[in-house]
Amino acid sequence: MSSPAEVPTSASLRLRLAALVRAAALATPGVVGLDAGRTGMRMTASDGLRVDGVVCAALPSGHYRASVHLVAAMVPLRPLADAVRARVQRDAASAGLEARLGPVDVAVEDVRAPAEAHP
Amino acid sequence: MILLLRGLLRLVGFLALIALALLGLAFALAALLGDKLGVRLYGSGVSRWLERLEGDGTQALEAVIGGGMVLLGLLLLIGALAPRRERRAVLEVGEHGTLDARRRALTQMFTALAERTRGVTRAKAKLRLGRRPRHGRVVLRAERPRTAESTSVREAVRSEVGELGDAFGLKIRVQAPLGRRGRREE
Repeated sequence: MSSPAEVPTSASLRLRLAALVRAAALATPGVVGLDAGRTGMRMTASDGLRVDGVVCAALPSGHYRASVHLVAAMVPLRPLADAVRARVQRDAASAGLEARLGPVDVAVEDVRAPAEAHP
Repeated sequence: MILLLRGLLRLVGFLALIALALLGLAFALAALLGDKLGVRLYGSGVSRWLERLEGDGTQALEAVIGGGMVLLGLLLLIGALAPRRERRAVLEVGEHGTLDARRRALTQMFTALAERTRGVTRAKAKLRLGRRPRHGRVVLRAERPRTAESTSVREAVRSEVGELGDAFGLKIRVQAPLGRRGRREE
């Protein structure tokens, strides 16, 4: 699952946020893909649906902390993380979820040239 | 190499466990069904040892060995069950979130940056991360042709990777040995 459109509106907020973060990260230039890890544990699952590469966890404040595990191209990492966060914030605002979005952690799991990217 | 050793360790451990289980099973069968199977433990070294264990007095050696085995088992259990925490290179920690990178990803970046430096024919990075965040060391081996001076290559590589190293708080060491003969200069 990679697009928020694939997540039904009846799905949990956590899952919807995870799908949004995933789509936003994948749309950011410099992000080659997302990585769920060797065992596929870096994901958010709920109601039989799962979003790979994003771990979304509820905070005591009511916000959700999103950790996005990405495969980056050979680009400067700090601007890349800023771009991912900005895109996530923008998309969350468009979806009316910005009030529930907490910190966005960016974890670079691998570096790969875009041509090497696996689907 | 490490992966190979880990695989070998798992294989040896697995085979040793099977051997131990079979040995235990053999002793149990011999003790229970020795007569039917034609195996007699009575009078054997094992039998005498078991009789000594059951007898009066203290068996200090056996107690020490037994205690040691229990302790070893507990340590092995802790080693097997305790989650392994992967050390990651932390770039920033803030209210808006953290930015970190896996060791392998960072090593690839250092290697790629060094390899694109003029005069470098081949590069390899080794990264060691400290226990504390923003502590670590990267050793870059940048091979050079005879036409390039070691000092200038080292300086060029250092200037290429310096920003990345500083961002992650890593100490950088650059080696610039002569490349192997016949390796193409890129």
